[in-house]
Amino acid sequence: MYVLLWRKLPGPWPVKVVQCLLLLAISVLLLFTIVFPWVEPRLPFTDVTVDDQGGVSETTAPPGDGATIGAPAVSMVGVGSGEVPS
Amino acid sequence: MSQVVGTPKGALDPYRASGPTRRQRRAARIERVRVATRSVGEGFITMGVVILLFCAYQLFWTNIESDRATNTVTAEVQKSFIVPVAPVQAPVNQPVAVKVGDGQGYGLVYIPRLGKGWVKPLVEGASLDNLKKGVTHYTGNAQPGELGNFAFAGHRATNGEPFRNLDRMQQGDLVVIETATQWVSYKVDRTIIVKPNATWVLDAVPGKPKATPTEATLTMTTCNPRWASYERMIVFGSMVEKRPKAEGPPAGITAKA
Repeated sequence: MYVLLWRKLPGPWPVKVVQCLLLLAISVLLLFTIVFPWVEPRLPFTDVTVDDQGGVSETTAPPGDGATIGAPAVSMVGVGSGEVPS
Repeated sequence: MSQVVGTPKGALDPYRASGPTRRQRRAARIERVRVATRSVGEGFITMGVVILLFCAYQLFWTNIESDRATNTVTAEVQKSFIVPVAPVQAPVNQPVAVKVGDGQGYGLVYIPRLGKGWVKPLVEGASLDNLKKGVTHYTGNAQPGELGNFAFAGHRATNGEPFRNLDRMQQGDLVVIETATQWVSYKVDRTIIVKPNATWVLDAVPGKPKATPTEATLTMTTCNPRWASYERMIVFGSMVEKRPKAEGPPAGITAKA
């Protein structure tokens, strides 16, 4: 595949090397500006929102509210109500 | 007629009309298989290179592009602060109904725990396009300072990764929102891990479906673990204070110049 390309390129071999590098640069640019941005949303790696995911959504909190990490679970009612202006 | 020594049988014989010999056909077939195998190998190597390039794209390119977009949107937001978008006489306690279009930046979020001088623009609409610009507000949820659940999302890896260190948030950490008219301060209550379809975290009162909210709360969402997204990390908080812009930022926060 690449041997065929090498044979088809015109000029002595230093010229061919330069042409290859040019083709490589153009390919990478096309990938980064068109192909990859098109592919990226279709991959699930970077989903950060909560939604019904096209199916059933969890509409009620599970008992215990899932796995709590960091500070111990504190009831949300009543916290931080000290300085809220009325 | 004598034949040249070393030539395969029939190769140079002008009187032979039956084409290539069995040996020649076999040699040609082997050559074709060689070329085909090599092409397949080159194809695999090419695919591997493309995948590596995609990794570079995710790790470097998206961050560069997002940083540029974030800076642009932050500048726009700061400009919008100078031109008041709502009547200045409106009392701070009344929700100021600022109409923000999707993709528009309308606030600045300050979270000291996430880094020195950490500030990101708040953009309306939690879509992938908007997430490249900063942190994005879930349309339909309460706005900063309003009764109910003010919820927004941010990337944890790639695309600027504003929430890269969201796992460091602790109870009591400050999350401050600067809008055109107010400074709204929230304090973190807790962090939980949920499934991606746990839409209850966006309810007006998370954990109490259909309840009427009596306070202003905060919800921040991102993916978990950092390099996959089969879960979500949710940080809950509640409002502690809001003040008009004229009073300046709350203690511990330096307004972004």
